[in-house]
Amino acid sequence: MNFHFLFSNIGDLTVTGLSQGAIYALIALGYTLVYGLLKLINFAHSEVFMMGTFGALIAWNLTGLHENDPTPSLPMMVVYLLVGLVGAMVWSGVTALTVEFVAYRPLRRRNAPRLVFLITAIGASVAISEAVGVITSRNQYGMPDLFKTTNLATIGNVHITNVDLGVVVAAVVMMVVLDQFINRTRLGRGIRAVAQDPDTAALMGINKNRVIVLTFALGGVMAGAAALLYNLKIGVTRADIGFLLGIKAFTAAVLGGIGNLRGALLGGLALGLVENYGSALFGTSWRDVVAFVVLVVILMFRPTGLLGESLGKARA
Amino acid sequence: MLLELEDLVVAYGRIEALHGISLGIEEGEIVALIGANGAGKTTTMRAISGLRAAQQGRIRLQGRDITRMRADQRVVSGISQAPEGRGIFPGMTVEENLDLGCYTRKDAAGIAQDRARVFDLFPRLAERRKQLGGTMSGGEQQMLTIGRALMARPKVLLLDEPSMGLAPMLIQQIFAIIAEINTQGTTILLVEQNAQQALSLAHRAYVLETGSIVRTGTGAELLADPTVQEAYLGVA
Amino acid sequence: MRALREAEQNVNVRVRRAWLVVPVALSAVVAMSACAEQNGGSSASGKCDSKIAFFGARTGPNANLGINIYNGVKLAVDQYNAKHKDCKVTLESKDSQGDEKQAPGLAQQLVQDQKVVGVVGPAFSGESEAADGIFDQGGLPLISASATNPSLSQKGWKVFHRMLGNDNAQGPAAATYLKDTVKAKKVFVIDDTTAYGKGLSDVVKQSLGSVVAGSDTVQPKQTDFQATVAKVKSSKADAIFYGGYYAEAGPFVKQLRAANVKATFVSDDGVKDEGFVKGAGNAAAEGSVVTCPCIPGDEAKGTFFADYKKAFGKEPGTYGPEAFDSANVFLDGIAAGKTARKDMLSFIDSYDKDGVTKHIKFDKTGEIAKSEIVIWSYKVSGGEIVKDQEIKATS
Repeated sequence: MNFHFLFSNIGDLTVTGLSQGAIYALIALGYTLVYGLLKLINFAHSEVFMMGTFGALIAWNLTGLHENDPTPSLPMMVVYLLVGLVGAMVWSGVTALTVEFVAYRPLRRRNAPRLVFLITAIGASVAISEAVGVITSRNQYGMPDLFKTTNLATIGNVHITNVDLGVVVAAVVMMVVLDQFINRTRLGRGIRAVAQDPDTAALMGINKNRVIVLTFALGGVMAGAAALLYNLKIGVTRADIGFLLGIKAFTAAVLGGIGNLRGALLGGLALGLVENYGSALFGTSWRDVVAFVVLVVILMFRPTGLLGESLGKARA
Repeated sequence: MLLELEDLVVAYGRIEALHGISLGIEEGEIVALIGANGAGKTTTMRAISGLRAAQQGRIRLQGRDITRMRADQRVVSGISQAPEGRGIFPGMTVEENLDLGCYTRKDAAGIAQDRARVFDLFPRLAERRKQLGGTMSGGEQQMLTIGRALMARPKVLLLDEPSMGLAPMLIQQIFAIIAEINTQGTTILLVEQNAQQALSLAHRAYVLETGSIVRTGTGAELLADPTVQEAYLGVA
Repeated sequence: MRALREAEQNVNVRVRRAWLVVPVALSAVVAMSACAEQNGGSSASGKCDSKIAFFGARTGPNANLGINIYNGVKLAVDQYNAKHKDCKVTLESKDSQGDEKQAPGLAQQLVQDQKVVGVVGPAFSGESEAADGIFDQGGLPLISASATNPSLSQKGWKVFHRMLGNDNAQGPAAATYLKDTVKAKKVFVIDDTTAYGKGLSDVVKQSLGSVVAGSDTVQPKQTDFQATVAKVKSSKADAIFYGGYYAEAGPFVKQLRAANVKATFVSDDGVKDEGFVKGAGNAAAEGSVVTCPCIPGDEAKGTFFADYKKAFGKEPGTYGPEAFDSANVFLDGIAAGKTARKDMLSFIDSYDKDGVTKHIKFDKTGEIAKSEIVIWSYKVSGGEIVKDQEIKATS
C-alpha cells in the first residue's frame, strides 16, 4: 500500500477523480430516470452515451473541424463547443428514443414480464455497440483539440486544469437544471407522478407514454452532455467504450440510490474519487476491486444507497 | 344523459367482475352506487375512468362513445376520479398534488379560480399547502383527493369510497362538502359502502351485487326498501 | 498483434470456441472422406500444378496488415512464375477477415486441396490458434509472417514456422533501446494485463533491472488513465515502457501529454498502428517509439523494395518483406521438386539461406533461429509511424 503516494498527491487525485466522477454522474442520470419511472434497468443506455461521442465528432467534422486541426480561436471554440453539444445530444437522444420505440414500447403493450425487458435491454446494448463496431471497423476516432489543456490554478501542489474544472462545473450545472426541471415544472411533475403511481397519474390526465418518451429523451440529452465532456477530457472514442462506462455509471446510480437524481450526482462523484484513491493506494489493477468493495459495504449499511429515495419522492 | 353505461362487461382474466351493467347519470345529479365488498363498485369506477378496459358494452359521455378512450384522454373530456384508498402522491406537497389535478388545463385564470374554490371548500388544505401529502392525516388526504379531482373542472366527478376509514365526525363533514360541490353545479357519481350516508345524499342510487345491478330508485325509495335495509343498512 | 489481443482479452472467445466444435467436427468428417478419394486418385508430386496459399485478413477491421502480407506473397509468386513460365505456381487466397471463427473452415478447405503445398499465414495469433491444429493434422506446412504469440511454437505442431522473432525476443530489445538509445535513468513500466502486454512488460522489467522507477497496470478498454498518469508524474521517470495495444495506448499518451509529462514513450508492435496516432492525436503521439520484430520495407535486401513499389504503386507495409521471404521458402521447395507436403516440410526444416529480411533458418519448434532475429524501432513523426533504427542486441 502506497500511502505516501496517496497523501502527497491527494489534491490532484481528488480533482481528476471528481472530473471522472462527474461524467459517471451524467450517465448515471439516464439509468436513474428510467429506473425511477419504469423499474427498468436500461442497459442500452451505455450505448446511448457511446453514440453521443460519435454525434459530437460527426457534428465537428460536418462543420469542418477535424482531428489534428490547430485549436480554433476563442469565439470559434465556443461555437464548436455548442455544435458538439448539439450533435452529441441529438444523437444520444435519437438513440434513446429509438430503443424505447423499437424495443421497450412493444413489450409494454404486451405486458411482457420483467425478465423479458431485462434481456431486451442487454440485447439492444449489444446490438447497437456491435453495429457501430462493424460500421466503424472498430477503429478509434481521435477528437479535435478545441483548446489546449492548461493549468488554471495551482494551490499548494494541487493542479486544476481547465478541462477538469470545466467538466465538473458543466456536469453540476446540467444536474441542477435537470433537478429544477423535474421538481419545478409541469412536465417534471408529470414524470414524478407516473413514477410514484402510474394509475393515479393517468387519472390526472397524464399520458404515460408521453412521459416515458420525455424521460428517455432527458436521459439521452444528459448522456449527450456526458459524451461531449468525455470527448473533451479523454479525446478518443470507439464503438466499445459504452460498456465499461455504462457499468460504472450504473454502479454510481445504485451507490447514490437508484431512482434519485441527486443520488446519481453524489454516487458518480464518490465513485470517481474512490477509484482514484484506490488506484493510488493499491495500484490501478485494484481499482475496480476497491470500487466494488466500497459499493458492497455501503449497500450493506444503506441498502437503498447513499440518498436512497425514489424519483417520485425526491423533493426540492 | 350526461354519462351512460350500457351492458358493460369487465373481466379480470377469465373471471368476470361485471356481468353487463347499465346505469345512467343526468346532469346535476348525485348518483350513488352501493354494494358490499367485492360487488364490483370499484371495478365500475375504474371502467368509467379508463383504468380498466371493458370487454363488452358501451360507455357514453354526453352521447359520445368513450369506451375505447385512454384514461388520460377521458380526463380531458370531463371525467375526473378521486381514487379510493387516498390515492394521493405522498412525496409531493398539497400544492403539487392540486397542480397535478389540472395537469391537462392551460387556462391560468380558471385554474386560479378553481384553486381558490378548493381552498374555500377545504380550508385545511390551504393551511397545509407546503406539507407533503404522505404526512397528512387520513381525513386530510381524502380532502386532497377530492380537491385534486375538482381541479380538472370535471363534467362528472367520480368519488370512490370517500368515507373509507374516517371517523364519523369527519364522514359527516366530507358528505356535507360533497353536497356543497354538487350545489355548485358538479355532477357526481358516488361509490360507497356507507349506504346510509350515500342514500341520504344521493338523488338516485343503484345497488350492485356480485357484478350485477339488482335494484335502482331514488335515494329515499331505496332507504325505505326493506331488502336494502336488511342487506346494507343493518336494520333487522 | 491485434488478433492476439482479441483472443486474450475477449472472454467471448471461449464461448465462441464452443460454437466452433460442431462445424469443425462436421468439416473434419467431410475432409476425411475427401482425402480418402484424392489419395486414391492422383499423386501430387512431379506435376506443374502446385499451389501455395495466403491465409489472413484481406477485408474486415484488420485488413491492412493482411493486404501487406498478401502483396508480399503475390510479388514472390509473380517473380517465380516469370522465371518458370513452363511450370507456374498458383496463389490461392483465403480471406479470414482475421476472424478466428472462420479460420477452421478455411483451413479445412486448404487441407483438402492436395495441390496446396504451403501456407503463408495465418496472419494473426488468434486465428493461428484456431487453424494451425487443422493444418498440422493435414500435414500442410505453414510459415506465418506475422503471428508473434510465443505459445504458437510450443504446441507440438510440426507444420508451424514463423518468419520473425516472437514476443519474447522483443522485450530485451525494447530494454536495450531504452538504456542505450533513450539513455533513460528512470523508466516507468506499464502493462495492460493481457498475456501479450504483461509478458512483454515483465521481460522488459527484468532486462532493465534497477532502472525501473515504478510500474502500474491499465485495463483493456479503459479510457481514463488519470491515476496512472499521476503515478508516472510523481515517479519523475524520463521514459515509459508500455506493454499492450494501441487502443489504450492512444488515449493514455494523450492524457499523459495533457498532464505535461514529457517522458519518452516506448511501446511494442501492438501499438505499431495508425490507430495509436489517431487516438493520441498527432501532437501527443509525436516522438513515441514502438519496437517490432519486422523490418522496414526499404531495409529489405536486394531489389524487393523497388520491385514491390513497381508492382503495387506503394511502399511495402508492415510484414510485407517477411511475407515475401515466407513465400520464397515454399517456392524454392517447389523448384527443388518438393511438391508433396511431407517433402516440403523436411525441406523447410533444413532450409538455410538468406532472405530479404534475414538469414532464414528455423529451429526445431519452427521459430526463426535466435541469432537471426531482427528487431527494429519505429518512431512517430508528423503523424506517421516511420522507421527509426535496428536494435542490435547488447552483450
